[in-house]
This record gives sequence, C-alpha cells and structure tokens, in this order.
Amino acid sequence: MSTATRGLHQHTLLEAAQLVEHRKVSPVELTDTVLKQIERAEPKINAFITVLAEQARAVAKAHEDMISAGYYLGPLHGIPIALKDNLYTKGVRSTAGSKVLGDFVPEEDATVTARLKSAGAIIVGKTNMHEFAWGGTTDNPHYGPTRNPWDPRRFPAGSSGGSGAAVAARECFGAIGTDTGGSIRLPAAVNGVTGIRPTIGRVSNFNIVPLAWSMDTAGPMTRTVADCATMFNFIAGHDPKDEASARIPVSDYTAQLNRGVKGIRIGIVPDYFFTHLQPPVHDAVRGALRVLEGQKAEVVEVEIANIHGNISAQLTIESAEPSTYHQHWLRTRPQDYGDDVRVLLEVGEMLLATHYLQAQRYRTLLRHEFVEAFEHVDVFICPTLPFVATPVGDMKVVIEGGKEEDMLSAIMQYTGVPSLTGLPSMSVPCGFSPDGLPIGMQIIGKPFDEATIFRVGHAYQQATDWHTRAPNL
Amino acid sequence: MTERITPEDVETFERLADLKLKGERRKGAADILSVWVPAANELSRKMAEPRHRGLTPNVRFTHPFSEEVVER
Repeated sequence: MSTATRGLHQHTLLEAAQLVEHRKVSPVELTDTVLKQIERAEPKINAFITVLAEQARAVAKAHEDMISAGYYLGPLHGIPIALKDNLYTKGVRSTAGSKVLGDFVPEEDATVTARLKSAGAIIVGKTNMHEFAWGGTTDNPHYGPTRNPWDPRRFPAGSSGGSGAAVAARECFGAIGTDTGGSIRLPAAVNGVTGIRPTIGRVSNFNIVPLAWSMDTAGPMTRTVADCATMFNFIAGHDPKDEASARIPVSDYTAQLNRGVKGIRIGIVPDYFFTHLQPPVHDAVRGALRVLEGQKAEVVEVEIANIHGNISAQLTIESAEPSTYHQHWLRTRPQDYGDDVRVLLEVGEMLLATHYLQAQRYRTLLRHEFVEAFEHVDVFICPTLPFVATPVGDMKVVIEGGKEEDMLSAIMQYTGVPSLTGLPSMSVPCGFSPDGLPIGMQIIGKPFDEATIFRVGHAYQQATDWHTRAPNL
Repeated sequence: MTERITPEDVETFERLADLKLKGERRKGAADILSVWVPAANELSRKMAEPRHRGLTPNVRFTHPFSEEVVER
C-alpha cells in the first residue's frame, strides 16, 4: 500500500525509516500522525501513563533540522517510540506503574533510554504496566487497566501490556518492554506483535526499576521481526554501569535476517510444549512448524528430563526477589500498593531461603539440560502462552476441561523456561483464534544467539501475513 | 503430610519476617502459600537428591571482572 492510501502510523518502523532517510516524510510529520493516533486510541485502550506530546514535537523538530543539515543518524532517527514506565527517563515521571513512585522524576536516563535517544528516536510516552511489573494482566489499580486493541473487553497481558497494546494500536513504531517471567513475550503474543527477551546480560538493566534481579531483562516490541532486530541493534551491548552486563560481542542483528531456515533444526518438547493448552493455540503453533518445515527446516523431538517443576521455581524466585527489593516500602507504605501486588510481596517474605536456593539450583539444572539439547537443535519453538486473551479483570483462566486455574501460574507455562535458563526468546504472531484474538509462538535460542532467533522469525514472517494484520480501532 | 497453610501459620511467618499484617490479609496470603509451598517443597525434595549435589545456585553476576573489552 502506498503512503497516500494508508496513514503514516500504519507503516512499519523500517518503512517509516526509509521515508525519513529519503526525506519523503519528516520526523515532525511522523510524530504528529502518531500523536493523533494516540488521541484516537487511548480512550479505548489506555496504553500510556504519560504522553509526551509537547516534548516529542520539540524533539522531532530538532531532528528534522539535523536531517535537513545532513546529520542522518540511522534507522531510528526521527522514529516515534514508547518506553515502559519502569525505565528511567531524565526529567520525566517514571512510575513503574505504581503509586509508590507516582512522583518519581529521575535525574538520569536508563542506559536503554539513553541509547535510543542517541540513535535519534523520539519518545512519545511512557506506557502502562502491571504495578512494579509484578503480574501479567496490566490491570493497574492506579492508572487504570490497559485493554487489548483487538477486543477492548480483553486484557493485553503483561506486565508490558501498555507497550504491547501501543504497538498493536499503531500508537508508536516500536516500544521497549521488560521481561522477568514473560512480560515482553506475553503481551507481544496476545496483542499480535513481535517482542524479544534477550539473553540475560545482553541488554543493560541500569536505571530500570527491578522486579527480580536475577531474571530481569529489557527488549523491544515491534510489528515485525526486522523492526525488532533493528531496535535491538541499538540497545544490545555491554554497559559498565550494569554489573550483570555481559562483555560478549554484539553483532548486526539484521545481517542474517534473509538467510532463511533451510537446515535449521527446530527442537520441540512434545510432552510439555503441546500439552495443556487451548486447541486454537495448539493448532496455530503446529501450523507454524509446518510452515517452517516447508522452508526446509527440520523439526526434532527433544526430551528435557526436568522441565516439569519450572513454574514453581519461577514463582519462588519471582516472589522472593521483589519482596526483598520492596521490604522498606511494604512496611512504610503498604496501603499504596494495589491489592494483588501487595499480597504477592507479603507472600514472598514467607518462603524459606532453602526454597529460594533450591529454585536457583534448579535453574542450573534446567540450563544444563537446554545447553546440552542445543548440541542437537538450533532453536526451540513452543507456544508463548497456552491461552488467548482473557476478559479484563479475570484472575482465573480455563485452559481445558472447564477447570479454572490461577492466572499467574498458568500464564508462565512456557515463558518461565527461558526466564529461568537465561536463554533469549522471542514471541512472533502465528495465528488467530476463531473469535479473532492473536496467538503467538515463542522461538528460544542459544545464549547470546539472538541473531538466529531473528533469522527464524523473519523467515516465518516472509511466508505468513499474521504480523501485518491490524486491529480495528 | 498436609501442607495447607492457615492464617495462623501466616501469623507465625510474620513474626519470622518482622512483618505485621492485618488479620483480614492473612487468608489471602495463606491461600497462595497453600499452593506455592507444596510445589516449592516438591522441587526442594528433587533438588536435595544426592544426584544433584554438585549443582550450585544460579545467583551470580555474569562476567563482572572480565578484562576483555568489547567495543560496539
């Protein structure tokens, strides 16, 4: 479709970047069209806590002047993006979706924020999230629930639900989310967008409000894999300000996008990846595997002996670490937490140190098993989550047999595995349920091999059009 | 053994954690712990088996003292 027949906000990030580079569209025009879309969509989906309209227009004008003077910085130059509200933004309120930090204005950017600014990106706003990222619904008691653009009666998952919904609703060309137990991949899946959780240590966590230190990551959420790899290029890499940052070389993550999947070995764990999930999700992911097999990839069945038990380990670690971080506020400002997060923080103080450390030892065991399995496969593919978007406010979900299950445990069935093992993984749209709700599949890669994940995801998107579909807002 | 956690159990945990909850909050915590603690204990039993004795916890910073410097 041409620029003349669809709104600028409907373009992908790379399409918009091409227009800016060739001076067919200015950063000011792009920013204005995105801000108008935010005005249109926000009453329905509430993806933002803070919209920076005035600042974004001023920055866009400055970038327009730079480009006019011949200072083109690359594919993020002049591109409107959004940041989850747990990333520090200098001079701009950064709440982490909480009342506790409701007035917090950082004096310094997160490293990710700074790198995106340096690349010329224009921050149009800070996105809504589950309070302190401790939950998967983005049903935020302080800033209102974010709603799914595909059906505003449904949730956008979380905790980066605002970022996922904003990308899907075309309120930005890309967004940053954070992921501890699935918080980038889950909203990517249910909002029909692409989102990657990097290898732990690949992207700096400096000046990002933590959830669980040993599992936290930050990554991009976009409409396409190519857009995601493009944003990733600018945020990946060592950061001396982050003690956990890896000194492993980065590559150009767009360089291998077009290599295809011929000969790529895709691992599946049949007794875990394809049990206990809703039929449309099962069928969509199986269908995606067939598409990749059609491109000469090979599907290999793998056994991971100790994969069962991962959800308990995930919950133990993901509750003990936040409870440690929040210990002071939980005693001095307990009334300022939403009820769901407050009880999780209370519970996290009541698990034993031995529970926590056995869970951390389990991570070592599970990681060893996956690293061994990677001698036989290049990636794993599984569903991102076992169900489609549920109604806003629901804390229970039915996956099979009419049995209600706790949302928090159920939602991490598949995303907990990369979180525990520290492996990179990306959610890519792979279909829709009969009632029109997006479904995502998760591509899990070797440590620091995000490039192969992007390669497989891009090959899949070249053969399918799920990622091109947009919600009617 | 039954591992159902009661509000009275939660009150005991509060003393251990130096955390004071109002009475009505104890049931919510007990309900969650009644699911999580048995699962955590099952995982602990597995990880305590002699075959896993050599495994260390995964709590560590990655590469903090490497001399290698990588420039983008």
